[in-house]
Amino acid sequence: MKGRMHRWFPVLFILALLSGCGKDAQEIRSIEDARDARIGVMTGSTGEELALQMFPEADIKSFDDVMDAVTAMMSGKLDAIVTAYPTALQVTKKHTAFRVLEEPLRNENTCIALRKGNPALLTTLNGIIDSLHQDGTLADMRRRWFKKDLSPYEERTLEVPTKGEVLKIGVTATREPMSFMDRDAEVSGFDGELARIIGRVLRRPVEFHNMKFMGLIPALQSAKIDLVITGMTATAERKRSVDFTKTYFENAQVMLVKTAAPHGDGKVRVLKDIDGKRVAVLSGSAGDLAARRRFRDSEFLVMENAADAAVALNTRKADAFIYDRSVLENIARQEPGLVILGEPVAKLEVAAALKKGNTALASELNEAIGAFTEDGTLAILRKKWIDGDGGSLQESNAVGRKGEAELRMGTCATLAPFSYHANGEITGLDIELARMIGNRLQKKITLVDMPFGALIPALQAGKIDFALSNFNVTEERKKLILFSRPYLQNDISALVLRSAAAPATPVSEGASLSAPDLNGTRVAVLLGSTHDTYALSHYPNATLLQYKTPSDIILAVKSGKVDAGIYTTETLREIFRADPSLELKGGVLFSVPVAMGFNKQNDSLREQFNVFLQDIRQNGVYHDMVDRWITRGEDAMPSISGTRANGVLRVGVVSDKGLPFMIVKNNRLVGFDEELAERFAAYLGKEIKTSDMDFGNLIAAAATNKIDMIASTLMITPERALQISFSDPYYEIGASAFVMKTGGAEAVAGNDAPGAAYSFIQPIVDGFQNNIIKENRWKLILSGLRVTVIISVLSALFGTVLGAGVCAMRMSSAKTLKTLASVFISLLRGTPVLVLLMLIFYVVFASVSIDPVAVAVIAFGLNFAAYVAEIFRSGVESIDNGQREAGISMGFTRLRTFLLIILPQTIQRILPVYKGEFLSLVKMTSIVGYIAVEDLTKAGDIIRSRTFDAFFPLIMVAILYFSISWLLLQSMAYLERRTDPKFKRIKTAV
Amino acid sequence: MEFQIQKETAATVVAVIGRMDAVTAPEYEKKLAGMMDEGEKNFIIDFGKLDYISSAGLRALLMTGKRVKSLGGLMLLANIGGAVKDVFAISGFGTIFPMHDTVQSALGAAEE
Amino acid sequence: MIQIKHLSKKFGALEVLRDVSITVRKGEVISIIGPSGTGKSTFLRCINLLDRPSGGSIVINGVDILDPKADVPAIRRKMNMVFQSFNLYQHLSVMDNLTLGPVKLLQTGRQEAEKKALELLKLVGLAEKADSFPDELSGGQKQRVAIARCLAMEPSIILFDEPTSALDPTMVSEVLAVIRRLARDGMTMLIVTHEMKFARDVSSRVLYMDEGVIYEEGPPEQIFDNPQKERTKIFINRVRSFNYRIASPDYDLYAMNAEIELFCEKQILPLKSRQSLQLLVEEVLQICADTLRSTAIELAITHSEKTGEIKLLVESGGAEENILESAALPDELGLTIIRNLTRSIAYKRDGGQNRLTLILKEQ
Repeated sequence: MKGRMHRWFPVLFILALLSGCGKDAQEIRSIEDARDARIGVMTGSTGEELALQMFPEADIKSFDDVMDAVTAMMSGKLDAIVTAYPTALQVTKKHTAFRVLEEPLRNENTCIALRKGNPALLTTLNGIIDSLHQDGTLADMRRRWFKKDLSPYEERTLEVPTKGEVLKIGVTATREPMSFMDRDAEVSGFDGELARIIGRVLRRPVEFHNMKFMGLIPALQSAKIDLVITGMTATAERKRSVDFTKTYFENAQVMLVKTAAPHGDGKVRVLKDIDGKRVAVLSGSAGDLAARRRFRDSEFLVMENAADAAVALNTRKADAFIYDRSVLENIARQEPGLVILGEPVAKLEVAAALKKGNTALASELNEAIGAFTEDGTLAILRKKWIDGDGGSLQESNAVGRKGEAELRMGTCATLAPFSYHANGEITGLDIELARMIGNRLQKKITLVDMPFGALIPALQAGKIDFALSNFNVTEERKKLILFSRPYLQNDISALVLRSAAAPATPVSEGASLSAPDLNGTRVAVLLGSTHDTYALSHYPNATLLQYKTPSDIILAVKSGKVDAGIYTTETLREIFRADPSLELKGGVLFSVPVAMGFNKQNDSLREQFNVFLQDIRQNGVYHDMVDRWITRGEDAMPSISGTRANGVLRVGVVSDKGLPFMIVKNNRLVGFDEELAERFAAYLGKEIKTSDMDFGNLIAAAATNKIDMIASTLMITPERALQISFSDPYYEIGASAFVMKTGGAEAVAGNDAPGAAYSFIQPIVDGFQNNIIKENRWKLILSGLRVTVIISVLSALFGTVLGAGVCAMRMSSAKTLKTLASVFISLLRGTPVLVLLMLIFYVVFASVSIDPVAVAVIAFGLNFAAYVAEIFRSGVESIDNGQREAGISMGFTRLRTFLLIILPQTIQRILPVYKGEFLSLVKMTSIVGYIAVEDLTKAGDIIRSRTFDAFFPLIMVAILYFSISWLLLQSMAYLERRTDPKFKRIKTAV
Repeated sequence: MEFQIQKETAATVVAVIGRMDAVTAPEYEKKLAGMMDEGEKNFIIDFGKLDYISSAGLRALLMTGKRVKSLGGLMLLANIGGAVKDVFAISGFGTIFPMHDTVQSALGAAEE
Repeated sequence: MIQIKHLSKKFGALEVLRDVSITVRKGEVISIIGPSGTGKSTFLRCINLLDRPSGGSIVINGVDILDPKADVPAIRRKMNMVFQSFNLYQHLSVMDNLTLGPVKLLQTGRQEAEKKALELLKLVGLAEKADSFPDELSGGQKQRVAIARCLAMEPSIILFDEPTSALDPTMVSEVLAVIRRLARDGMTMLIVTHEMKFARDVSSRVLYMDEGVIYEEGPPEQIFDNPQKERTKIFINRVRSFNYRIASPDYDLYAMNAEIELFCEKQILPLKSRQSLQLLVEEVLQICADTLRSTAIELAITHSEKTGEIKLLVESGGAEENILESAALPDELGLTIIRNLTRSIAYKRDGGQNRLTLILKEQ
């Protein structure tokens, strides 16, 4: 291997030199800097022309799509991108590492295009545009559509006439935010709105025609469309073909650059690290105040809501988010990449807010709150909403009684778990508390949802009577409003990114669970996992048993072979759902971030994954996945579509890792990891191809380029980082110890109950149902069976033919051939087949993409050949020499003597031994699982990992192997009979 | 060599079967010696089933005959035929012992 | 038809054939006799190139078969061999044994080959065994099948390598009968054999091989009855005789008797002669019992076909003495028998050996 590597170094070096690494990446701070940089532009756009003009010394590269340019810039191949402002804005929203240079390169006028020769319409349109300018509509539209972050557009719904001559508007609805397709497949955006406004003014219905940009002007000319409203710039050239209205939007060509590294290294480990860094806060919140007071030198980013702040953290736009601990805890639960710092920024109380002077209501509220405190209601509320998952609101009695007094309560329903939208209604701790208060005071509570900043003014103006919205009591606020007695105590804490290099820390959940003492016991772990390493270092006095698959660990615990097992906390929880005989022992031993693994050379793929991961975090897909798989424990795979044109993404997985990460269901891989991998493949436009292997082999497979990516909740460890490279972490998983419940046998209800008369049959019937019928598992078995038979037969054929050849060599008179053959035979008979198999797969065919079934056939075939050669030889040598002499002296050539006389007798003689070797071969094939081939044994393993039933699948597999052997024996016996020369005679005699 | 012994009132009939040569002759001597030790003294040797005899066999006959005589007993040879007869002839053995053609006549002679 | 000139064959350092030259004409039946290990079989095997000669030339029907370009398999087809160990194809039935060659080598149609095979089997008397397998046949039957197999190839010459040496004496005759028949029918044959009587009957020429060459050759009458050369004579005599060495007085009488019996059977001697011979030997050895304690005795029994005379030669080393006379005997029985069985008894002292020659009386 080393030799090979050395040979490649000079080649790689030269390639590196040639691949444009000549220029170093530049940081562009102003347009001046771009003079001799590498600039990306869109083919055929005005930007391209502009760049060529403005930067004659620069290295201009054209791209078909802006995303290609973005990827290029992310991997350091570009320094800047020149494109239109709306496009650039979109990019910065998604890739917060980018920013737009303030100074535009050139201003451009965006106008409506119409067919030449229509002055009346032109005048009318110009008139409309003028009035829209004057009444500020256009400015307002600009504000609403051109947001710098991902907060939703504030779309105005317009009424458009439905009768009349249709106004056909041509658009290219792929240019967000000017014109694009929204979720309902309607044309949306600035231009969409403008078109609708025009339609309304002209009292004509509007029909959008979506087409490629290049097609718009021809379509206009041929009257297929009437107007083009799609962010089109009025250029001199275009003016030759069409007419343009006045400018309705001032566009510009801008330069998109990568931001410099953030201040400091962005890593916040303890509270004081926050000083001088960028802090996200919510506008007007107590966190805001507390943060500013504490960290005077920091840079503050004011966000609209907590979700945005979390995104800012994830995308490294901010280094910390300071807010209420309970809200932060909610976020941290769902975002395992974020962690709350232990030390709080400040401690504050939460109370209801009222208008100053409203002492009557205040005392009512205080009384209620006091009662709730004493009877423990508040504690229950806290437990339910803050420590727990929330749930549904309690029923309220005070609903809709006519004539009853009403209290208007203001709340900002964007703060889980206090007040937020879910399932179409407003829910949360504050809401439930409000209902309770309403019940107590016998008043109807009407909720008014408004922005947080509007709450205090609303109170002051008497628009609402009180507000429950996680209001922290601060001195400044006390000046403006009246507070009730506090009903909650909040810590203001800081939420930061968990850095990948941070040592594994116990999960910062509320309860601290002690690590169980496993010393002196027998413990089962997964071979090669971090649990393995952990157990080795933390329980030196425990007897450690390392197993290859998770189901083996479970089995070991259940059958008493070990006292405890260690495995992934999340998966264990899933397992316990199905198997009540097991339980956790102690809490989470440690938790480590997990990431995808990549071959060290494949940096671009890794980068692409990181980009992809950021994308799905931002667009909500990630949260949805976590919600479905982990929080709710669902196991349905969504269908993910995508083109398959860009090749294949080979992903290594462990199919029996367990839910929520990876399992086989209905003969298909499902799970969080699987969905993540499939989505990534779709993102790349590639087809996904999974290789199922043992956990211990994943790293080797990636390092030898047998797979492109490891998707198996791979924990990030320094040792592994030596062999492969990791993506950004996409989750954090814990490891826990688990044991059999004491009195486990009785604890498990059902068919294992001894003494039941039918209990012998029932488990078999159940076993059959579970292991074979359910989820069509028999298909898995069938497929495994097919693979086993194919490998056995092909290897036998290959081995027999090769063996005959080697035998010929061994028996030849040429000394070299003889020696070669002898060496071959000794080597192959002396090497264990498993070692041979792995050698061929990982060493001989390293970095070669080859079907592992082919490797299996080669390895088994070689091994078989060595034995066949010797069997042949002994057979031939046992034939009396006289037979040969008789043949020769009769006039047969040596070859024909061999074929007609020696060979038939040899075959007769060796058939019994050959049979035995063949059967051995069939059974030997059960080890192919090591190189990720799904044969019969592996099929059994997979079923075992689903049903956790040891007996049935194993017995089934054994029976099948026996059947294969028996069938083969029968056919060989048939062969024997047919080749027995006396057979024919016996037949006729009978 | 095999023997078939039949005790008659007048004498014990000993049929010799097989060969009486240097190897088997001692067996004959031993057999008869044994019988004489038990008190028998009258013998009729039946040669009907004897295929072969050599000087060693003849000598054995002589030896046992001598002893029988000393005991005052009788030794008669009967049923001599074939090759055995020839050997008797060429060895001049014919006169030493009384020879009878059949066992019966030998018995008759013994009774007297 | 076959011309062999100065054939030589070495196995490593051992020179088995030194210089063999002979011409074989069509229709000749040539028997090759000689002591074991003198290369008779090797000579035969060189002719069909089972062993490759070290030197000399072999020309068959004008073709020098030692030429590397010669098509040896084709030549072999016309020249078949019958082996001492039969070498029938174990995996084929008798019928298939016979048809394999013709079908595969002579391109004969299967049906025709089978018809021919059946005829040949009739010829050798084994038609009913057509579907049997070699392991179901007796030795004699196997050899007859082997001969039939040869004939199926329609050879111009058949080589027989000790065809009856591995056979039970009872089966020898059936095989010899077949060979006789072939000779009668004019087949050219070379037969290496130990069956002197047979060789004498059937051959047109006899070769006596010794010392790596053809020592003497000639018609059977000459070689068997009137050998010219010294070694031939010795050989002929020796073959005729039964030799036995007695080393101690406790020799195994019965083993010796069995061998004597075998000899007699081979010589086809009447029962009486056999019995007399046995008796004679036993008596002589009885007398020699004392001598046996110190010296060994060599017995040789010869039977002359011509005269029918059976001679017993008793040879011993040691001091000069005529054992019959010098032995101290308890009685005259043994001697009497001896004298009466023999016609003459002669004593000679020859080259340090005591030689007693006793000639059996006619029976």
